[in-house]
Amino acid sequence: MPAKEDMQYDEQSQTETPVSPFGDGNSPSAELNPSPTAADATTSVSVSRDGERGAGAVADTGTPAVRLQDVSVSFRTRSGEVTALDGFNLTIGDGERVAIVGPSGCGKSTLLSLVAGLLPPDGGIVDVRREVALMPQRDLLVPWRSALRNAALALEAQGKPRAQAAERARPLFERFGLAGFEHARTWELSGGMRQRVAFLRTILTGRPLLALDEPFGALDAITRGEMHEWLEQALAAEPRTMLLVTHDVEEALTLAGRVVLMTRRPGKVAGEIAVDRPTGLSRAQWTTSREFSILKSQALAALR
Amino acid sequence: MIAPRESLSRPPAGRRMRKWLAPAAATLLLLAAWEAFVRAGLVDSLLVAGPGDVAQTLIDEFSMLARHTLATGREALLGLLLAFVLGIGAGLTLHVSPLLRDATLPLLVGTQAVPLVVLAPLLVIAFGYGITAKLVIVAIACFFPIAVGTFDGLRSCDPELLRLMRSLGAGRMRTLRLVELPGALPRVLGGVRIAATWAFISAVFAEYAGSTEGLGYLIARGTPLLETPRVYAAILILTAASLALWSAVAVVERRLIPWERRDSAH
Ligand SMILES: Nc1ncnc2c1ncn2[C@@H]1O[C@H](COP(=O)(O)OP(=O)(O)OP(=O)(O)O)[C@@H](O)[C@H]1O
Ligand SMILES: [Mg+2]
Repeated sequence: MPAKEDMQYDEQSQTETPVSPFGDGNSPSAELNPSPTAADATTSVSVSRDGERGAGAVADTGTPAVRLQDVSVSFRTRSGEVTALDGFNLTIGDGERVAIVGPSGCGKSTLLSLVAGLLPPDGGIVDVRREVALMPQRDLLVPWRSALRNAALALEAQGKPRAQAAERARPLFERFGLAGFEHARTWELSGGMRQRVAFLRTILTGRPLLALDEPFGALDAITRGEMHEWLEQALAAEPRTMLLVTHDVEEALTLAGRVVLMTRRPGKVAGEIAVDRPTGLSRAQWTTSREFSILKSQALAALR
Repeated sequence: MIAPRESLSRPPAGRRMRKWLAPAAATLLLLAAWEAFVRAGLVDSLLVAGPGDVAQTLIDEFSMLARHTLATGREALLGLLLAFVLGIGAGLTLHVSPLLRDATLPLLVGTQAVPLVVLAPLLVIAFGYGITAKLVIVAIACFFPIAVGTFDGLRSCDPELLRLMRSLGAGRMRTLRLVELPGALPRVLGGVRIAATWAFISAVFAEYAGSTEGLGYLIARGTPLLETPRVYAAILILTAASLALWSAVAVVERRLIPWERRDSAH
Protein backbone atom coordinates (compact mmCIF):
# COMPACT_ATOMS: atom_id res chain seq x y z
CA MET A 1 0.00 0.00 0.00
CA PRO A 2 1.45 3.40 -0.92
CA ALA A 3 2.01 5.95 1.80
CA LYS A 4 -0.91 8.28 2.29
CA GLU A 5 1.30 11.32 2.77
CA ASP A 6 2.98 10.91 -0.58
CA MET A 7 -0.35 10.90 -2.32
CA GLN A 8 -1.49 14.10 -0.72
CA TYR A 9 1.71 15.96 -1.45
CA ASP A 10 1.40 14.82 -4.97
CA GLU A 11 -2.12 16.04 -5.42
CA GLN A 12 -1.67 19.37 -3.75
CA SER A 13 1.69 20.33 -5.07
CA GLN A 14 0.19 23.00 -7.29
CA THR A 15 -2.33 24.75 -5.07
CA GLU A 16 -1.57 25.22 -1.42
CA THR A 17 -5.12 24.95 -0.18
CA PRO A 18 -6.09 23.19 3.02
CA VAL A 19 -7.64 19.76 2.71
CA SER A 20 -11.28 20.17 1.86
CA PRO A 21 -13.77 19.11 4.52
CA PHE A 22 -15.49 17.23 1.76
CA GLY A 23 -12.33 15.20 1.42
CA ASP A 24 -12.17 15.60 -2.29
CA GLY A 25 -8.73 17.17 -2.17
CA ASN A 26 -9.60 19.46 -5.04
CA SER A 27 -8.90 23.12 -4.83
CA PRO A 28 -12.10 24.40 -3.26
CA SER A 29 -11.93 27.85 -4.75
CA ALA A 30 -11.71 26.49 -8.26
CA GLU A 31 -14.59 24.13 -7.66
CA LEU A 32 -16.88 26.60 -6.03
CA ASN A 33 -16.55 29.50 -8.36
CA PRO A 34 -19.21 30.55 -10.77
CA SER A 35 -18.28 30.04 -14.32
CA PRO A 36 -17.75 33.26 -16.22
CA THR A 37 -18.05 31.37 -19.47
CA ALA A 38 -21.35 29.69 -18.73
CA ALA A 39 -23.58 30.10 -21.70
CA ASP A 40 -27.23 30.71 -21.04
CA ALA A 41 -28.26 27.65 -22.95
CA THR A 42 -31.00 25.62 -21.39
CA THR A 43 -30.25 22.38 -19.62
CA SER A 44 -26.62 23.32 -19.51
CA VAL A 45 -24.52 21.77 -16.84
CA SER A 46 -21.49 23.91 -17.08
CA VAL A 47 -18.04 23.26 -15.77
CA SER A 48 -16.38 25.90 -13.72
CA ARG A 49 -12.71 25.60 -13.12
CA ASP A 50 -11.34 29.03 -13.86
CA GLY A 51 -11.63 32.15 -11.76
CA GLU A 52 -10.11 32.93 -8.39
CA ARG A 53 -12.18 33.66 -5.35
CA GLY A 54 -11.80 32.88 -1.68
CA ALA A 55 -13.02 29.54 -0.48
CA GLY A 56 -15.43 31.10 1.97
CA ALA A 57 -17.23 33.31 -0.49
CA VAL A 58 -20.93 32.64 -0.53
CA ALA A 59 -21.88 34.13 -3.81
CA ASP A 60 -25.29 35.70 -4.11
CA THR A 61 -24.78 37.15 -7.51
CA GLY A 62 -27.17 37.65 -10.34
CA THR A 63 -26.63 34.23 -11.87
CA PRO A 64 -28.37 31.56 -9.84
CA ALA A 65 -26.93 28.07 -9.64
CA VAL A 66 -30.21 26.50 -10.67
CA ARG A 67 -33.16 27.99 -12.47
CA LEU A 68 -36.25 25.94 -13.27
CA GLN A 69 -38.97 27.82 -15.04
CA ASP A 70 -42.41 26.44 -15.77
CA VAL A 71 -40.99 22.94 -15.99
CA SER A 72 -43.19 19.97 -16.75
CA VAL A 73 -42.34 16.28 -16.97
CA SER A 74 -44.64 13.41 -17.84
CA PHE A 75 -44.02 9.70 -18.14
CA ARG A 76 -45.80 7.41 -20.50
CA THR A 77 -46.75 4.28 -18.63
CA ARG A 78 -48.96 1.30 -19.37
CA SER A 79 -51.77 2.85 -17.40
CA GLY A 80 -51.55 6.12 -19.32
CA GLU A 81 -49.64 9.31 -18.95
CA VAL A 82 -48.37 10.32 -15.53
CA THR A 83 -47.57 13.97 -15.05
CA ALA A 84 -44.86 14.14 -12.42
CA LEU A 85 -44.16 17.85 -12.53
CA ASP A 86 -46.34 20.57 -13.96
CA GLY A 87 -45.50 24.25 -14.07
CA PHE A 88 -42.75 23.89 -11.55
CA ASN A 89 -40.66 26.95 -10.70
CA LEU A 90 -37.56 27.05 -8.57
CA THR A 91 -34.49 29.23 -8.42
CA ILE A 92 -31.55 28.40 -6.24
CA GLY A 93 -28.91 31.00 -5.61
CA ASP A 94 -25.25 30.17 -5.51
CA GLY A 95 -24.36 28.75 -2.11
CA GLU A 96 -27.98 28.49 -1.09
CA ARG A 97 -29.33 25.44 0.73
CA VAL A 98 -32.80 24.48 -0.31
CA ALA A 99 -34.84 21.60 1.02
CA ILE A 100 -37.73 20.07 -0.89
CA VAL A 101 -40.48 18.48 1.15
CA GLY A 102 -43.53 16.89 -0.34
CA PRO A 103 -45.75 13.85 -0.35
CA SER A 104 -44.55 10.60 -1.86
CA GLY A 105 -44.80 10.48 -5.64
CA CYS A 106 -45.03 14.24 -6.11
CA GLY A 107 -41.97 14.36 -8.34
CA LYS A 108 -39.06 15.11 -6.02
CA SER A 109 -36.74 12.49 -7.47
CA THR A 110 -37.78 13.54 -10.95
CA LEU A 111 -36.81 17.08 -10.02
CA LEU A 112 -33.31 15.95 -9.01
CA SER A 113 -32.93 14.01 -12.27
CA LEU A 114 -33.73 17.21 -14.13
CA VAL A 115 -31.19 19.19 -12.14
CA ALA A 116 -28.55 16.50 -12.64
CA GLY A 117 -29.13 16.68 -16.38
CA LEU A 118 -30.23 13.05 -16.58
CA LEU A 119 -33.72 13.79 -17.79
CA PRO A 120 -34.81 16.37 -20.33
CA PRO A 121 -37.94 18.32 -19.40
CA ASP A 122 -41.04 17.99 -21.55
CA GLY A 123 -41.60 21.71 -21.21
CA GLY A 124 -40.07 24.76 -19.62
CA ILE A 125 -36.51 25.77 -18.94
CA VAL A 126 -33.91 23.93 -16.90
CA ASP A 127 -30.79 25.96 -16.42
CA VAL A 128 -28.11 24.48 -14.20
CA ARG A 129 -24.77 26.21 -14.00
CA ARG A 130 -22.88 24.05 -11.59
CA GLU A 131 -21.58 20.54 -11.76
CA VAL A 132 -23.97 18.35 -9.83
CA ALA A 133 -23.15 15.67 -7.30
CA LEU A 134 -26.24 13.50 -7.27
CA MET A 135 -27.10 11.10 -4.50
CA PRO A 136 -29.93 8.96 -5.86
CA GLN A 137 -32.72 7.69 -3.65
CA ARG A 138 -31.59 4.08 -4.08
CA ASP A 139 -28.03 3.66 -2.89
CA LEU A 140 -26.97 1.77 -6.05
CA LEU A 141 -23.96 0.22 -4.36
CA VAL A 142 -22.43 -2.48 -6.54
CA PRO A 143 -21.88 -5.90 -4.95
CA TRP A 144 -18.55 -6.58 -6.63
CA ARG A 145 -16.88 -3.70 -4.82
CA SER A 146 -16.07 -3.40 -1.14
CA ALA A 147 -17.67 -0.58 0.83
CA LEU A 148 -14.60 1.61 0.49
CA ARG A 149 -14.26 1.02 -3.22
CA ASN A 150 -17.94 1.73 -3.73
CA ALA A 151 -17.37 5.18 -2.31
CA ALA A 152 -14.22 5.51 -4.40
CA LEU A 153 -16.22 4.75 -7.55
CA ALA A 154 -17.05 8.46 -7.74
CA LEU A 155 -13.38 9.24 -8.28
CA GLU A 156 -12.64 6.27 -10.50
CA ALA A 157 -15.52 7.34 -12.70
CA GLN A 158 -13.65 10.60 -13.18
CA GLY A 159 -10.53 8.72 -14.17
CA LYS A 160 -8.57 8.72 -10.90
CA PRO A 161 -6.38 5.65 -10.41
CA ARG A 162 -7.94 3.03 -8.20
CA ALA A 163 -5.44 3.16 -5.31
CA GLN A 164 -5.51 6.94 -5.15
CA ALA A 165 -9.31 6.97 -5.15
CA ALA A 166 -9.45 4.52 -2.26
CA GLU A 167 -6.94 6.53 -0.25
CA ARG A 168 -9.08 9.64 -0.58
CA ALA A 169 -12.19 7.84 0.57
CA ARG A 170 -10.50 6.29 3.60
CA PRO A 171 -10.39 9.32 5.96
CA LEU A 172 -14.08 10.02 5.35
CA PHE A 173 -14.89 6.44 6.24
CA GLU A 174 -13.54 7.03 9.70
CA ARG A 175 -15.38 10.30 10.06
CA PHE A 176 -18.71 8.71 9.17
CA GLY A 177 -18.43 5.89 11.65
CA LEU A 178 -17.62 3.33 9.01
CA ALA A 179 -14.08 2.59 10.19
CA GLY A 180 -13.43 -1.13 10.14
CA PHE A 181 -15.92 -1.67 7.36
CA GLU A 182 -13.68 -0.59 4.51
CA HIS A 183 -13.41 -4.10 3.16
CA ALA A 184 -16.95 -5.17 4.01
CA ARG A 185 -19.02 -6.52 1.17
CA THR A 186 -22.12 -4.50 0.44
CA TRP A 187 -24.50 -7.17 1.71
CA GLU A 188 -22.73 -7.15 5.05
CA LEU A 189 -23.67 -3.50 5.59
CA SER A 190 -26.78 -2.30 7.35
CA GLY A 191 -29.24 -0.05 5.53
CA GLY A 192 -27.90 3.00 7.30
CA MET A 193 -24.30 2.07 6.52
CA ARG A 194 -25.14 1.59 2.85
CA GLN A 195 -26.70 5.03 2.85
CA ARG A 196 -23.61 6.58 4.38
CA VAL A 197 -21.39 4.90 1.78
CA ALA A 198 -23.63 6.31 -0.95
CA PHE A 199 -23.46 9.73 0.70
CA LEU A 200 -19.69 9.48 0.77
CA ARG A 201 -19.62 8.57 -2.88
CA THR A 202 -21.58 11.75 -3.57
CA ILE A 203 -19.36 13.96 -1.43
CA LEU A 204 -16.18 12.57 -3.01
CA THR A 205 -17.15 13.88 -6.44
CA GLY A 206 -16.07 17.29 -5.17
CA ARG A 207 -18.83 18.96 -7.14
CA PRO A 208 -20.18 22.33 -6.02
CA LEU A 209 -23.90 21.51 -6.23
CA LEU A 210 -25.14 18.74 -3.96
CA ALA A 211 -28.41 17.14 -5.04
CA LEU A 212 -29.36 14.74 -2.27
CA ASP A 213 -32.40 12.47 -2.49
CA GLU A 214 -33.43 11.54 1.04
CA PRO A 215 -29.82 11.03 2.04
CA PHE A 216 -30.40 10.13 5.67
CA GLY A 217 -33.76 8.42 5.54
CA ALA A 218 -32.48 5.04 6.66
CA LEU A 219 -30.57 6.31 9.66
CA ASP A 220 -31.53 6.26 13.31
CA ALA A 221 -32.08 9.61 14.99
CA ILE A 222 -28.65 9.69 16.62
CA THR A 223 -26.63 8.80 13.52
CA ARG A 224 -28.76 11.16 11.49
CA GLY A 225 -27.97 13.93 13.96
CA GLU A 226 -24.28 13.18 13.57
CA MET A 227 -24.53 13.28 9.81
CA HIS A 228 -26.38 16.61 10.01
CA GLU A 229 -23.67 18.02 12.22
CA TRP A 230 -20.95 16.85 9.88
CA LEU A 231 -22.74 18.26 6.86
CA GLU A 232 -23.31 21.61 8.57
CA GLN A 233 -19.67 21.87 9.56
CA ALA A 234 -18.51 20.89 6.11
CA LEU A 235 -20.81 23.41 4.47
CA ALA A 236 -19.69 26.11 6.86
CA ALA A 237 -16.04 25.45 6.12
CA GLU A 238 -16.57 25.20 2.40
CA PRO A 239 -19.92 26.43 1.17
CA ARG A 240 -21.70 24.54 -1.52
CA THR A 241 -25.06 24.83 -3.05
CA MET A 242 -27.39 22.15 -1.79
CA LEU A 243 -30.71 20.82 -2.98
CA LEU A 244 -31.98 18.39 -0.38
CA VAL A 245 -35.02 16.17 -0.83
CA THR A 246 -36.43 14.87 2.40
CA HIS A 247 -39.60 13.61 4.05
CA ASP A 248 -38.45 14.94 7.36
CA VAL A 249 -39.58 18.51 8.04
CA GLU A 250 -37.20 18.81 10.99
CA GLU A 251 -34.29 17.77 8.84
CA ALA A 252 -35.30 20.36 6.26
CA LEU A 253 -35.54 23.12 8.88
CA THR A 254 -32.18 22.15 10.35
CA LEU A 255 -30.12 21.91 7.20
CA ALA A 256 -31.72 24.33 4.77
CA GLY A 257 -32.05 28.06 4.57
CA ARG A 258 -35.22 27.71 2.55
CA VAL A 259 -37.80 24.96 2.53
CA VAL A 260 -39.88 24.41 -0.59
CA LEU A 261 -43.12 22.55 -0.02
CA MET A 262 -44.63 20.64 -2.88
CA THR A 263 -48.18 19.68 -3.72
CA ARG A 264 -49.36 16.20 -4.55
CA ARG A 265 -48.82 14.99 -8.09
CA PRO A 266 -48.53 16.75 -10.43
CA GLY A 267 -45.92 18.48 -8.33
CA LYS A 268 -46.01 22.23 -8.02
CA VAL A 269 -44.66 24.56 -5.41
CA ALA A 270 -47.22 24.78 -2.61
CA GLY A 271 -45.31 27.21 -0.50
CA GLU A 272 -41.96 28.27 0.79
CA ILE A 273 -40.57 28.78 4.23
CA ALA A 274 -37.54 30.92 4.86
CA VAL A 275 -35.52 29.55 7.72
CA ASP A 276 -33.74 32.26 9.64
CA ARG A 277 -31.70 30.29 12.03
CA PRO A 278 -29.81 32.63 14.31
CA THR A 279 -26.07 32.19 13.99
CA GLY A 280 -24.33 30.69 16.95
CA LEU A 281 -27.29 28.55 17.89
CA SER A 282 -26.39 24.92 18.25
CA ARG A 283 -28.38 22.22 16.56
CA ALA A 284 -29.97 21.15 19.82
CA GLN A 285 -30.82 24.72 20.78
CA TRP A 286 -32.32 25.39 17.40
CA THR A 287 -34.48 22.27 17.19
CA THR A 288 -35.91 22.93 20.65
CA SER A 289 -36.50 26.62 20.10
CA ARG A 290 -39.95 28.15 19.89
CA GLU A 291 -39.30 29.55 16.43
CA PHE A 292 -38.42 26.12 15.17
CA SER A 293 -41.68 24.61 16.33
CA ILE A 294 -43.63 27.46 14.76
CA LEU A 295 -41.90 26.90 11.43
CA LYS A 296 -42.51 23.21 11.75
CA SER A 297 -46.22 23.56 12.31
CA GLN A 298 -46.39 26.04 9.43
CA ALA A 299 -44.73 23.53 7.14
CA LEU A 300 -46.93 20.67 8.23
CA ALA A 301 -50.03 22.80 7.78
CA ALA A 302 -48.99 23.77 4.27
CA LEU A 303 -48.37 20.16 3.34
CA ARG A 304 -51.78 19.07 4.53
CA MET B 1 -14.35 -35.39 -0.64
CA ILE B 2 -14.17 -31.65 -0.17
CA ALA B 3 -15.39 -31.46 3.38
CA PRO B 4 -12.45 -31.64 5.78
CA ARG B 5 -12.92 -33.72 8.90
CA GLU B 6 -12.88 -30.73 11.28
CA SER B 7 -15.87 -29.25 9.55
CA LEU B 8 -18.07 -32.14 10.53
CA SER B 9 -18.76 -30.47 13.84
CA ARG B 10 -20.18 -27.38 12.19
CA PRO B 11 -23.91 -27.15 11.54
CA PRO B 12 -23.86 -27.30 7.72
CA ALA B 13 -21.79 -30.48 7.91
CA GLY B 14 -24.90 -32.62 8.09
CA ARG B 15 -26.29 -31.09 4.95
CA ARG B 16 -22.98 -31.41 3.19
CA MET B 17 -22.71 -35.07 4.21
CA ARG B 18 -26.07 -35.73 2.70
CA LYS B 19 -25.11 -33.83 -0.42
CA TRP B 20 -22.23 -36.22 -1.03
CA LEU B 21 -23.57 -39.32 0.64
CA ALA B 22 -26.91 -39.54 -1.09
CA PRO B 23 -25.66 -39.55 -4.69
CA ALA B 24 -22.73 -41.80 -3.71
CA ALA B 25 -25.11 -44.36 -2.21
CA ALA B 26 -27.39 -44.20 -5.24
CA THR B 27 -24.45 -44.73 -7.59
CA LEU B 28 -23.13 -47.67 -5.58
CA LEU B 29 -26.54 -49.28 -5.58
CA LEU B 30 -26.82 -48.88 -9.34
CA LEU B 31 -23.35 -50.36 -9.85
CA ALA B 32 -24.21 -53.33 -7.64
CA ALA B 33 -27.41 -54.01 -9.59
CA TRP B 34 -25.51 -53.75 -12.85
CA GLU B 35 -22.80 -56.16 -11.69
CA ALA B 36 -25.43 -58.62 -10.50
CA PHE B 37 -27.23 -58.35 -13.80
CA VAL B 38 -24.06 -59.16 -15.77
CA ARG B 39 -22.94 -61.95 -13.39
CA ALA B 40 -26.34 -63.60 -13.58
CA GLY B 41 -25.54 -64.39 -17.19
CA LEU B 42 -28.66 -62.76 -18.55
CA VAL B 43 -26.60 -61.08 -21.26
CA ASP B 44 -23.56 -61.93 -23.29
CA SER B 45 -20.53 -60.58 -21.43
CA LEU B 46 -19.02 -59.65 -24.80
CA LEU B 47 -21.85 -57.24 -25.43
CA VAL B 48 -22.30 -55.77 -21.97
CA ALA B 49 -19.41 -55.31 -19.54
CA GLY B 50 -19.92 -55.21 -15.79
CA PRO B 51 -18.45 -52.62 -13.44
CA GLY B 52 -15.82 -55.13 -12.39
CA ASP B 53 -14.55 -55.54 -15.94
CA VAL B 54 -14.51 -51.79 -16.43
CA ALA B 55 -12.57 -51.26 -13.22
CA GLN B 56 -10.07 -53.94 -14.27
CA THR B 57 -9.62 -52.21 -17.63
CA LEU B 58 -9.10 -48.84 -15.94
CA ILE B 59 -6.25 -50.36 -13.92
CA ASP B 60 -4.67 -52.52 -16.61
CA GLU B 61 -4.77 -49.95 -19.39
CA PHE B 62 -4.16 -46.92 -17.26
CA SER B 63 -1.32 -45.37 -19.24
CA MET B 64 -3.01 -45.90 -22.59
CA LEU B 65 -6.27 -44.44 -21.31
CA ALA B 66 -4.42 -41.54 -19.71
CA ARG B 67 -2.76 -40.67 -23.01
CA HIS B 68 -6.07 -40.56 -24.84
CA THR B 69 -7.72 -38.66 -22.00
CA LEU B 70 -4.99 -36.02 -22.19
CA ALA B 71 -5.51 -35.68 -25.92
CA THR B 72 -9.25 -35.15 -25.51
CA GLY B 73 -8.73 -32.88 -22.50
CA ARG B 74 -6.39 -30.70 -24.49
CA GLU B 75 -8.90 -30.35 -27.30
CA ALA B 76 -11.78 -29.66 -24.93
CA LEU B 77 -9.95 -27.08 -22.82
CA LEU B 78 -8.24 -25.25 -25.66
CA GLY B 79 -11.48 -25.26 -27.63
CA LEU B 80 -13.32 -23.89 -24.61
CA LEU B 81 -10.67 -21.22 -24.19
CA LEU B 82 -11.05 -20.26 -27.84
CA ALA B 83 -14.83 -20.14 -27.41
CA PHE B 84 -14.37 -18.02 -24.28
CA VAL B 85 -12.25 -15.42 -26.04
CA LEU B 86 -14.46 -15.33 -29.12
CA GLY B 87 -17.70 -15.45 -27.13
CA ILE B 88 -16.75 -12.55 -24.87
CA GLY B 89 -15.47 -10.61 -27.85
CA ALA B 90 -18.70 -11.23 -29.75
CA GLY B 91 -20.89 -10.37 -26.74
CA LEU B 92 -18.97 -7.13 -26.23
CA THR B 93 -19.14 -6.22 -29.89
CA LEU B 94 -22.87 -6.87 -30.07
CA HIS B 95 -23.37 -4.73 -26.97
CA VAL B 96 -21.22 -1.83 -28.06
CA SER B 97 -22.25 -1.58 -31.70
CA PRO B 98 -25.95 -1.65 -32.62
CA LEU B 99 -25.00 -1.72 -36.29
CA LEU B 100 -22.90 -4.86 -35.94
CA ARG B 101 -25.59 -6.35 -33.71
CA ASP B 102 -28.25 -5.96 -36.36
CA ALA B 103 -25.90 -7.15 -39.08
CA THR B 104 -24.50 -10.27 -37.43
CA LEU B 105 -27.05 -11.54 -34.93
CA PRO B 106 -29.04 -13.56 -37.51
CA LEU B 107 -25.76 -15.05 -38.76
CA LEU B 108 -24.71 -16.03 -35.26
CA VAL B 109 -28.02 -17.67 -34.51
CA GLY B 110 -27.81 -19.35 -37.91
CA THR B 111 -24.53 -21.05 -37.03
CA GLN B 112 -26.35 -22.70 -34.15
CA ALA B 113 -29.06 -24.01 -36.42
CA VAL B 114 -26.65 -26.10 -38.51
CA PRO B 115 -26.33 -29.42 -36.66
CA LEU B 116 -22.83 -30.23 -35.51
CA VAL B 117 -23.31 -33.85 -36.65
CA VAL B 118 -23.34 -32.63 -40.21
CA LEU B 119 -20.75 -29.96 -39.75
CA ALA B 120 -18.08 -31.98 -37.95
CA PRO B 121 -17.06 -34.28 -40.85
CA LEU B 122 -16.97 -31.32 -43.20
CA LEU B 123 -14.68 -29.43 -40.84
CA VAL B 124 -12.40 -32.44 -40.58
CA ILE B 125 -12.21 -32.55 -44.36
CA ALA B 126 -11.40 -28.85 -44.37
CA PHE B 127 -8.89 -28.78 -41.50
CA GLY B 128 -7.49 -32.31 -41.50
CA TYR B 129 -7.07 -34.94 -38.76
CA GLY B 130 -5.00 -32.68 -36.53
CA ILE B 131 -6.09 -30.64 -33.51
CA THR B 132 -7.25 -27.63 -35.56
CA ALA B 133 -10.50 -29.22 -36.68
CA LYS B 134 -11.22 -30.32 -33.10
CA LEU B 135 -10.65 -26.85 -31.71
CA VAL B 136 -12.95 -25.35 -34.33
CA ILE B 137 -15.69 -27.87 -33.58
CA VAL B 138 -15.42 -27.46 -29.80
CA ALA B 139 -15.33 -23.68 -30.18
CA ILE B 140 -18.45 -23.70 -32.36
CA ALA B 141 -20.29 -25.80 -29.79
CA CYS B 142 -19.17 -23.71 -26.80
CA PHE B 143 -19.15 -20.25 -28.32
CA PHE B 144 -22.84 -19.52 -28.32
CA PRO B 145 -23.75 -19.79 -24.62
CA ILE B 146 -20.77 -17.63 -23.71
CA ALA B 147 -21.59 -14.99 -26.32
CA VAL B 148 -25.24 -14.91 -25.27
CA GLY B 149 -24.30 -14.81 -21.59
CA THR B 150 -21.95 -11.89 -22.17
CA PHE B 151 -24.42 -9.98 -24.31
CA ASP B 152 -27.32 -10.51 -21.90
CA GLY B 153 -25.13 -9.77 -18.90
CA LEU B 154 -23.99 -6.47 -20.34
CA ARG B 155 -27.54 -5.55 -21.22
CA SER B 156 -28.87 -6.47 -17.79
CA CYS B 157 -27.17 -3.50 -16.11
CA ASP B 158 -29.51 -1.46 -13.91
CA PRO B 159 -30.46 1.64 -15.95
CA GLU B 160 -30.37 3.74 -12.78
CA LEU B 161 -26.79 2.64 -12.20
CA LEU B 162 -25.95 3.70 -15.75
CA ARG B 163 -27.51 7.08 -15.03
CA LEU B 164 -25.49 7.38 -11.86
CA MET B 165 -22.31 6.67 -13.80
CA ARG B 166 -23.29 9.33 -16.28
CA SER B 167 -23.85 11.82 -13.50
CA LEU B 168 -20.47 10.90 -12.02
CA GLY B 169 -18.90 11.86 -15.32
CA ALA B 170 -17.92 8.42 -16.60
CA GLY B 171 -17.80 7.96 -20.36
CA ARG B 172 -18.85 4.97 -22.42
CA MET B 173 -15.67 2.95 -21.97
CA ARG B 174 -15.25 3.71 -18.30
CA THR B 175 -18.84 2.77 -17.58
CA LEU B 176 -18.27 -0.47 -19.44
CA ARG B 177 -15.17 -1.26 -17.42
CA LEU B 178 -16.34 -0.13 -13.99
CA VAL B 179 -19.96 -1.22 -14.04
CA GLU B 180 -21.25 -3.14 -17.03
CA LEU B 181 -18.50 -5.77 -17.29
CA PRO B 182 -18.34 -6.69 -13.61
CA GLY B 183 -22.14 -6.71 -13.52
CA ALA B 184 -22.19 -9.08 -16.49
CA LEU B 185 -19.91 -11.58 -14.77
CA PRO B 186 -22.66 -13.81 -13.31
CA ARG B 187 -24.23 -14.34 -16.71
CA VAL B 188 -20.89 -14.73 -18.47
CA LEU B 189 -19.95 -17.46 -16.03
CA GLY B 190 -23.38 -19.03 -16.39
CA GLY B 191 -22.68 -19.25 -20.10
CA VAL B 192 -19.24 -20.71 -19.45
CA ARG B 193 -20.80 -23.36 -17.21
CA ILE B 194 -23.16 -24.45 -19.97
CA ALA B 195 -20.30 -24.34 -22.46
CA ALA B 196 -18.19 -26.48 -20.14
CA THR B 197 -20.70 -29.30 -20.35
CA TRP B 198 -20.40 -29.17 -24.13
CA ALA B 199 -16.62 -29.03 -24.28
CA PHE B 200 -15.83 -32.74 -23.76
CA ILE B 201 -18.86 -34.01 -25.64
CA SER B 202 -18.04 -31.91 -28.68
CA ALA B 203 -14.37 -32.92 -28.51
CA VAL B 204 -15.40 -36.59 -28.61
CA PHE B 205 -17.72 -35.74 -31.41
CA ALA B 206 -14.92 -34.16 -33.37
CA GLU B 207 -12.79 -37.25 -32.79
CA TYR B 208 -15.59 -39.40 -34.06
CA ALA B 209 -15.53 -37.44 -37.28
CA GLY B 210 -11.90 -38.33 -37.84
CA SER B 211 -8.92 -38.65 -35.54
CA THR B 212 -5.93 -40.71 -34.49
CA GLU B 213 -6.18 -40.33 -30.73
CA GLY B 214 -8.50 -39.34 -27.90
CA LEU B 215 -11.38 -40.90 -26.00
CA GLY B 216 -13.69 -40.43 -28.98
CA TYR B 217 -11.18 -42.28 -31.13
CA LEU B 218 -11.10 -45.12 -28.57
CA ILE B 219 -14.88 -45.35 -28.50
CA ALA B 220 -15.26 -45.09 -32.27
CA ARG B 221 -12.66 -47.81 -32.84
CA GLY B 222 -13.56 -50.02 -29.89
CA THR B 223 -17.29 -50.31 -30.45
CA PRO B 224 -17.23 -52.35 -33.70
CA LEU B 225 -14.37 -54.44 -32.27
CA LEU B 226 -16.55 -55.27 -29.24
CA GLU B 227 -13.93 -53.89 -26.84
CA THR B 228 -16.81 -53.20 -24.52
CA PRO B 229 -14.93 -52.75 -21.20
CA ARG B 230 -12.55 -50.31 -22.84
CA VAL B 231 -15.38 -48.33 -24.44
CA TYR B 232 -17.21 -48.25 -21.12
CA ALA B 233 -14.06 -47.09 -19.37
CA ALA B 234 -13.65 -44.31 -21.91
CA ILE B 235 -17.24 -43.20 -21.39
CA LEU B 236 -16.73 -43.25 -17.64
CA ILE B 237 -13.63 -41.08 -17.90
CA LEU B 238 -15.49 -38.72 -20.20
CA THR B 239 -18.31 -38.33 -17.71
CA ALA B 240 -15.89 -37.73 -14.86
CA ALA B 241 -13.97 -35.17 -16.88
CA SER B 242 -17.15 -33.27 -17.76
CA LEU B 243 -18.22 -33.28 -14.12
CA ALA B 244 -14.79 -32.08 -13.04
CA LEU B 245 -14.86 -29.24 -15.54
CA TRP B 246 -18.35 -28.23 -14.42
CA SER B 247 -17.24 -28.23 -10.78
CA ALA B 248 -14.17 -26.20 -11.63
CA VAL B 249 -16.36 -23.53 -13.22
CA ALA B 250 -18.66 -23.64 -10.19
CA VAL B 251 -15.67 -23.07 -7.89
CA VAL B 252 -14.53 -20.12 -10.01
CA GLU B 253 -18.08 -18.75 -9.86
CA ARG B 254 -18.19 -18.97 -6.10
CA ARG B 255 -14.91 -17.15 -5.83
CA LEU B 256 -15.55 -14.45 -8.41
CA ILE B 257 -19.19 -13.68 -7.73
CA PRO B 258 -19.84 -14.35 -4.05
CA TRP B 259 -22.85 -12.00 -4.13
CA GLU B 260 -24.78 -14.51 -6.23
CA ARG B 261 -26.17 -17.44 -4.27
CA ARG B 262 -24.42 -16.33 -1.12
CA ASP B 263 -27.30 -17.79 0.89
CA SER B 264 -26.38 -21.35 -0.09
CA ALA B 265 -24.21 -23.22 2.39
CA HIS B 266 -20.68 -21.90 2.05
N1 LIG C 1 -39.17 6.35 -15.10
C1 LIG C 1 -40.47 6.53 -14.81
N2 LIG C 1 -41.42 5.96 -15.57
C2 LIG C 1 -42.72 6.14 -15.29
N3 LIG C 1 -43.17 6.87 -14.27
C3 LIG C 1 -42.28 7.46 -13.48
C4 LIG C 1 -40.88 7.32 -13.69
N4 LIG C 1 -40.23 8.01 -12.74
C5 LIG C 1 -41.17 8.55 -11.97
N5 LIG C 1 -42.41 8.25 -12.39
C6 LIG C 1 -43.67 8.70 -11.82
O1 LIG C 1 -43.57 10.06 -11.57
C7 LIG C 1 -44.12 10.39 -10.32
C8 LIG C 1 -43.09 11.10 -9.48
O2 LIG C 1 -42.06 10.20 -9.16
P1 LIG C 1 -40.83 10.60 -8.23
O3 LIG C 1 -39.95 9.41 -8.13
O4 LIG C 1 -40.22 11.83 -8.73
O5 LIG C 1 -41.57 10.86 -6.84
P2 LIG C 1 -40.95 11.28 -5.44
O6 LIG C 1 -41.51 12.59 -5.07
O7 LIG C 1 -39.48 11.17 -5.48
O8 LIG C 1 -41.56 10.18 -4.47
P3 LIG C 1 -40.92 9.51 -3.16
O9 LIG C 1 -40.99 10.50 -2.06
O10 LIG C 1 -41.81 8.36 -2.89
O11 LIG C 1 -39.53 9.11 -3.50
C9 LIG C 1 -44.62 9.09 -9.72
O12 LIG C 1 -46.01 9.03 -9.91
C10 LIG C 1 -43.93 8.03 -10.50
O13 LIG C 1 -44.79 6.93 -10.66
MG1 LIG D 1 -38.15 9.97 -4.65
